[in-house]
Amino acid sequence: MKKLNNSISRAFQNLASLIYKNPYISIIIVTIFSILLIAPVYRISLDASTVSILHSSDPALKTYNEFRERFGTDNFIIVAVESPDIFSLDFIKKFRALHRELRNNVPYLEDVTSLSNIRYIKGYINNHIISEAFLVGFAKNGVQSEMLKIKLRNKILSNPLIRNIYVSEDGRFATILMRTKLHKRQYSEKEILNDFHDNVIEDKDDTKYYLDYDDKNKTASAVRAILEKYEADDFKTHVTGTDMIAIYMKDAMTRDIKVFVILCLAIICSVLYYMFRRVTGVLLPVVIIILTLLSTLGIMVYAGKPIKNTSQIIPSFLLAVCVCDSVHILALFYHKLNQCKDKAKAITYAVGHSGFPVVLTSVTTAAGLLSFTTAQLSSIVDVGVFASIGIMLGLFYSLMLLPALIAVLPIKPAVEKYSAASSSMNKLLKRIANISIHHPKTILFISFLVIGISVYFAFTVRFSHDILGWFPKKNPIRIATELIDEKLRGTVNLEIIIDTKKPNGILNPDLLNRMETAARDMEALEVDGIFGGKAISITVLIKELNRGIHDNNPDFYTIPQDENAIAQEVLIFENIAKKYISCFTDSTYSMARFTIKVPFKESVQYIGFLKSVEKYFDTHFSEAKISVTGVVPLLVTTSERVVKSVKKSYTIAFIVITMLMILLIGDLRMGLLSMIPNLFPIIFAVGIMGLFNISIDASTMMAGSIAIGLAVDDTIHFMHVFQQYYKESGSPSQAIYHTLQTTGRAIFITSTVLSLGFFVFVFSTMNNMAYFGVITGIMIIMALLADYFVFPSLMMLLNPDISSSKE
Amino acid sequence: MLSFLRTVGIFFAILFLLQASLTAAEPDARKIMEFSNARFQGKNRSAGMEMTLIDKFNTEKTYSILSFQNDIGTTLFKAMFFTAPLNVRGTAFLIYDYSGPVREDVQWLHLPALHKTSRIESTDQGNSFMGSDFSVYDMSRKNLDNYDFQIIDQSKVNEHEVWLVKSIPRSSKIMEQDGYEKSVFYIRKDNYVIIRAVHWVNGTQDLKYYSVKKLELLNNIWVPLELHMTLKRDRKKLHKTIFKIFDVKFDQEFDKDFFSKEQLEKKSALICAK
Repeated sequence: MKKLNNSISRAFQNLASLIYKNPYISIIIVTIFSILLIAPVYRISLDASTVSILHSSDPALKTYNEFRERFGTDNFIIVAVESPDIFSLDFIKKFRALHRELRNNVPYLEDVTSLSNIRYIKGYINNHIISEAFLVGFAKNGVQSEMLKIKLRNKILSNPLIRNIYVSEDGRFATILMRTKLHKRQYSEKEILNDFHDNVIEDKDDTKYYLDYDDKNKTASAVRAILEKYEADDFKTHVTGTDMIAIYMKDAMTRDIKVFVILCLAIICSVLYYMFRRVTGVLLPVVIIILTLLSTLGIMVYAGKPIKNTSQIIPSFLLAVCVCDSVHILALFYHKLNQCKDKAKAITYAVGHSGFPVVLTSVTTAAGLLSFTTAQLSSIVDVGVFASIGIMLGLFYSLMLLPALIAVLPIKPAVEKYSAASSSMNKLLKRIANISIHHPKTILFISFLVIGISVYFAFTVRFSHDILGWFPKKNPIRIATELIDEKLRGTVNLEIIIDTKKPNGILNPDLLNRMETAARDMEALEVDGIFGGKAISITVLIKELNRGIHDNNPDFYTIPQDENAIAQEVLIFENIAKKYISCFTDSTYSMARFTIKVPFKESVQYIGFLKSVEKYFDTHFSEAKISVTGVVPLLVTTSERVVKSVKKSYTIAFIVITMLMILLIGDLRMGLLSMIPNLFPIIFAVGIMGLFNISIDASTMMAGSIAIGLAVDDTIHFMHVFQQYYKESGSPSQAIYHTLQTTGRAIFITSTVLSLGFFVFVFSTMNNMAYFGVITGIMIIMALLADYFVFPSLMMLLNPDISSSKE
Repeated sequence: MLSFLRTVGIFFAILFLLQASLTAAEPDARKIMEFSNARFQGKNRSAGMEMTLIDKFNTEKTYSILSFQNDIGTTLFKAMFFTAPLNVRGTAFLIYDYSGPVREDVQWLHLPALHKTSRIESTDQGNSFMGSDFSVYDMSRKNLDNYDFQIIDQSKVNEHEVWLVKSIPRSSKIMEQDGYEKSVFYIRKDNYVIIRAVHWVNGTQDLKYYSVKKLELLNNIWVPLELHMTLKRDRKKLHKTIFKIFDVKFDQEFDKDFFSKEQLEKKSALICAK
């Protein structure tokens, strides 16, 4: 083993010597390499959509996309207008003007619907049937009598297609739903006139015409500007919807990434200057980490991957983690330079001694991250793939560029000064060593007690995917969503597709009767605080039409009990309201859409409700194929994927890193033991999450695997030095003293940089990122404490003192 | 030199006159539309019809229809009876398509299962015709005063010379009624039949493509026997309707009140009883 270590060390020395002697060649190679990688970085994009964290091949997402393909998107921008009397003449006039202005002046809208343009089927005497707008007859000759107002109120509030979708039950809220276009391409008249065929033209450039963030932002800004004009005490506007949430999240991400990177760089520069007191000590690592960051982002562009909500940690994470490589090499370099006054010797020595541990720590960190590649959430996989690529790039730049830049820059030796801080650090480390050496059993007892308590709290941790909870409480989107949830009984949908698999299958009276009962049952269903706010299906249209055909007689607001009568009635619909009926069924009437509106809550809360709904439909519509989709099942699927991914990635990270440790230490027992101080911080941090009711979601789930990958780095350095000193002296206490005085100082610096690098996430706009930062930061501090106390205590108890026999 | 200049001058003068006379021979866009709109469609005509609806997933639904129509110049009467599938058998439409702006078209729908005949008040012509991709506007005569016409090009479709006439509604009210922002009609020069059209659907990015796939001269009347209408968005098919017309007979003996509500109900009962 010693021989192998020596030859590896020599290989690193030779590499450093070669680069030092030919610095410009190395600089040119690195420059060309990095230019190639960095060139497309200006094209890096951000994706904040709520479904973007699932794999595109995920069955839940596929079902959802199929549903949207058939019935259109269920994502809207929702504007809710609050007024004491939404049926008054003044309100209706202003509301209509707002509808018109939104329709005419907001770019990229597919359609806008509200009370202003929604129609219903009305029967007149003499068997006249008309599809009429709701607001027809709200005033006569510009005057609204109290009678007309009451009539309008009754007409609107009695219609299930309107109530709790376009108006609230209490008559104080009216909504406008806006659906954005997918595509912004404008075809020329010539192109249009040449398109008399059914073949789909596959246009490779097609994707560039999909609405991007800037387009959606234009839409959102136009909506906000128009609403501002109309805002008044008796006309209060609120805006939300999945598109607005995504735009807000993207704005937050853009702002947060900048803040994280600037803060992280500031912390790194401060710590580097405090540590080295040299300009080159700050400049060289900063050049390397910036190159690493830009190159990684460039690779993401080449791979066609945007930065998503969870992968926004990559930039600041890489800065904090990759600087550690330079810190280890430079610490040794400056120390040796001050001693031997020769740059060449110093850098060869530094790379020779720290090169191998730096490679090992990079490999273990990357292994921790690579465990995410097994995750069932695409944004987590992105973190695993690209952060580990970044780690290896950081290693490459450190080894290739540091010796070359040191060769070309004027760096002079200095007299090493021991500051008061340095001396107090020595005292502190000595005191820590004393405690560990003299009270190993007490330390281990306290540690296991803490772990026991942490395990208890860890079992109380919940898994969730609470998008609304990510927003600050005073955020206008969160306030608007919660308000609409309360007043209009929900903002998100659960979609059930009843597929009879036969043409006209849903026109069966028995099936329609059961759908009617299901609507009533679903509106009465409440499980774990989730209630069916609204349940609608084609039955509402059929009943409305049946009443219209029978001269608006309310007794006929029923499903006709003759299959042929239903088939013939829907023909009327196909004539006068084709677009409405196509929202509820397919073209052959073989499948029906059943929509349940529910409040926007954290995903785990939906599980019970979703199971009840699935069971209900499977039982009551056993002859049909039931598919459940929509935003709600997607949120639930995401949280289920989080649970599975956590189990899988933590297990893989633990197994791979343990095997690496055994391999690196070359001793099965010591390798296994070395994992104890690395598990300690993770169990502790999960316990903290349980204690403070912080749930594991797509962001916080990354903390454990990242922390274990980073924590073992310290242990590797610690173990490496401890074994050397123990072999030399035969005394575990002596070895601990020496290890703490040397490696103990270095890991204090790197842990400080890393933990502060994660603590910067507390400045995130979104709560989930702040929690992720705090949890990972705590794990790193606990890992440092475990290396200072738990690891030495274990070594004291497991390694006999053989110093006397050595002497 | 002078004689040469004179010869050249005369040559260009002749060329100019020739070109001017040729231009005068071409009817203007409005005239073309008038000829096309006034084209005689036959008196007392009966036919069988097959209506196939195809959605974007290529799922098909086919209806069989018996069609009767009579063109008396000021009004085009149409009566249509569904004969298949069974669940809509006997369902019937009666349409009075009035020429000119004075009267709105009238549409009755008889539902035999409910023994009800309802008049469908159509506030806009953009409504679907019998649930197809054709709108009521597509199937009715146009009031040409509502539009501005312009020949935008001339071309050939299946070896036939055509004018491409663009039609733009004169007001937003007409646009909303018809359901189209503008249209381009491909009109055959030899018989004034519209064999293709593109319609820009009002307020959307949708386009509707009309084309006549089969056109025959029967009893000296040009009769489209296969019509397609495809609704497209972003160059992708959303839905399509194919009308196939067969057994076309003219000068049938219809009772005086054949195109009445009462006769519609009686005829429907007969079809149901078969």
